[in-house]
Formats: sequence, C-alpha cells, structure tokens
Amino acid sequence: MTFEADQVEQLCRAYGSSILRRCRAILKNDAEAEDAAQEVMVLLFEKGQQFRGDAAVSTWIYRVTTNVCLNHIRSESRRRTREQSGDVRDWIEKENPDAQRFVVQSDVLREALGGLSDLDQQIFVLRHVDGLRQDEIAEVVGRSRRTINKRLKKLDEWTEKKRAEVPS
Amino acid sequence: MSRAFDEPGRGAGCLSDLVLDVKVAEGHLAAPDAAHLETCAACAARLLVLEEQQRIWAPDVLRLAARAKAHARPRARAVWARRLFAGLVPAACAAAALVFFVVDEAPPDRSKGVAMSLFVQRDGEVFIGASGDAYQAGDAFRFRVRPRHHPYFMLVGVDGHGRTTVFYPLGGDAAAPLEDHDEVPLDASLVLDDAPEQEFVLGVFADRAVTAGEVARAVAAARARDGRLHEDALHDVTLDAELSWVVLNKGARQ
Repeated sequence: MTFEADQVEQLCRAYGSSILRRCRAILKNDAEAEDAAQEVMVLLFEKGQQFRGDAAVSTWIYRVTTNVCLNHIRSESRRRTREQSGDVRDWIEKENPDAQRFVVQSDVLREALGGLSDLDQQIFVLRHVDGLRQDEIAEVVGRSRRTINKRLKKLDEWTEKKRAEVPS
Repeated sequence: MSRAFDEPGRGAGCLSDLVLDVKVAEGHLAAPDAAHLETCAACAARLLVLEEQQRIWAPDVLRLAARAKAHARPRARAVWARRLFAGLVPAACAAAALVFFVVDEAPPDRSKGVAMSLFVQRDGEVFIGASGDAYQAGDAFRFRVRPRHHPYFMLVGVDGHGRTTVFYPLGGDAAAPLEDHDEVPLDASLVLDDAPEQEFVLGVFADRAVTAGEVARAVAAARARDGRLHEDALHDVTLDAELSWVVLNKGARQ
C-alpha cells in the first residue's frame, strides 16, 4: 500500500487538524507549530510512496509529527525563540512574578528533553503530551509493549527527578 | 507542578486522541471503540472538540497542504532516475548522470508564511493561547508576530459587527514598519472587555503602509448580509497585504 500525491493530499486534509493540534501541544507556539505541520505534510508527500502499510495511517502520521516536532525542539532556532521569549517574560515579570515561573516551567519540556535518547523523547511526548497507553505508544514507535513498559518505568523516575528540579 | 509533565486527563478505558483522530479523519471506529463512545460522555465531548477543531482549522490545513505539496521533492522521479543510472552500461554513465542530477536537484526554498503567536495572562497565570479558544473578560494578551519579508505591520481588533480598532501601532492610522523581520514581540498588551460577542485580532502584513481605512473597508465588505462578521469571511477579505488572525471566543468567567 502506497500513496499517490492526490491520496496524500486527502490525508493531509483529513488528518491536518490532528497534525496541527499535536504540533501546537508539543511546541506551544502557534507560528512554530504551523511551520512544523507544513514540514509534516511535506514529508507525507515525499514518503507517501514508500509507506508500506505495515502500520495504521494514523500511527504513521503520529510518528512523523512527533519526530518533526522533536527536531524543531532540537534545532538551533529553538535557542533564538527562547531568547525572544525573554521579552515576553519581561512583560510578565513586571505584572506578576509568579507568572514568570509558569512560563519557565512551560519551557521545561523542551529543555528537559535534551537529556533523553531519541526513542525516549518520542515515548515521553506520546505519554505526557498525547496521553497514549503503552500499547498505543508501542504501535506508534514500532517497538514491543515490553520495551515501552521498561522505558516508561525509567522515564517515570526521570520525570520525578525533573519535577523536583523545577523551582518552587 | 509543571503542566509539561501533567498527562492529559482521560478516564480509564476512555479513547485516546489517536483513536478519536481516526474517527474525525475517516469517520469510523473499531466496534469496541464505537460501543465505548456511545456510552461515554467524556469521549463524546472530546470528539466534539476534535471535530470542531477540524472545522475551524480547515482553511489553515488547506493552505498548509497546498504549500507542502508545492514544496515536496519529486521523490519518485529521483528514485526512478537512480535506478536508471544503476542499470546503464559505463559508456552511458555521463548521460545517465545528467538525468540523475537534473531530477535530484536541491529542494526548493520551503518558504513559510506570516504568523502570530498569542500569550495570555489570566489571574496571575500566563499561558500560550490558541485561536478559537474561549477567553474571559479581563484576560490580557500579547502577540509575537513573524512578518516574513513584509516590512509593514498593523494589528487590528475586529468585533462581531466588523468594527475595527488599531492596536498596533497604538492609535495609529496606518501600518508601521517593523525593525526585525524574523519574529517580533509587540509592545502593546490588550485586555478583553466584557462584550459578549466573538472578536478577531487581525495581523496585517504589508509591503507598504496600508491604512486603517483600507482595512476597515475591506473587513466591512466581507461581512454577511446580517451585518455580522464570521471567521470564514476573513478568507475573503481583499487587501493589498497578507493576513493572519486569531479568534477570541468569550466564555463565562469561572
């Protein structure tokens, strides 16, 4: 099973809101989410003819979307965006110091992901942003449920450690 | 506790967005999931949200899909060319290489459009807002815009009757030049009033100093016969500028 361009276009229309919603949820920036969603769709067009149908279309799109967003988080442009968000923090700080803490915490996801392997980053997003079950995560990332179970246990420990590091 | 680490709220046995996305996109569910959906109010409510997002974001999705299609590399032709290249005798290599390089050229510039990001402050908490979400009277907003090659910008508030107010440049009557062409946090913050109607905040990205009058006339022309302005009509606004907008739905204060 492969997809021709017309079929990919239909997929983009059908799953476009899902792609956009997930990009927004992961990147927490509408402008960047639009860029990422467009990249996801470009990849669907480019890879559609290589899609072998060994996974559901929905999980394939989830996987591509997750990877594109994680690449955005890893990219150089993230640093520039964070620097610009300093202007917003300035505004917030003047009006309410507690609010600044929230913004800092909302950046925790992208900053904390630096300490995880690529696979663990995917699992983290699918678990904590999308709220998927173990079997669903296994399907999206193409690993066994047992592997996901093990990784999640380690991730839970890592998450608790990170929670403790968030300034109160 | 950081929101980044909070899992989305979902009851045990409830359907994930992964499952509901299939329902929204393809209109069907596996039998056990369909049975659960019939009896679960939480899942039904979540499905409504996802369906509404699909409806509201449809214009954005169409635009992104069209751009993606235009910018996707012609992968199949390149693969075909590589196979051709591999199968030719050495004497034909030079000609085959020419074919290969022609079809496997560098991808076109994946230009990206203008955009606005929304930051919201409510009751001492700040979060990143999204177009179409429900906001409350007293919520304060700040915007970050990405003008992408357009040197002039104007931020215009539009109420449900199509009446316009220029927020940036504050009190101005024409689009103002922006110093930075990448992403620009705007100085002004807006506070939502308690008028019950839906409001729009329109980002006008132009190559010249488009006037507030031009924007007001273009928006007025897009109103429906009942004099109301609907989001769909913003796509029909004819103006010598590129537009981006956010929709502020007003919900009851908690």
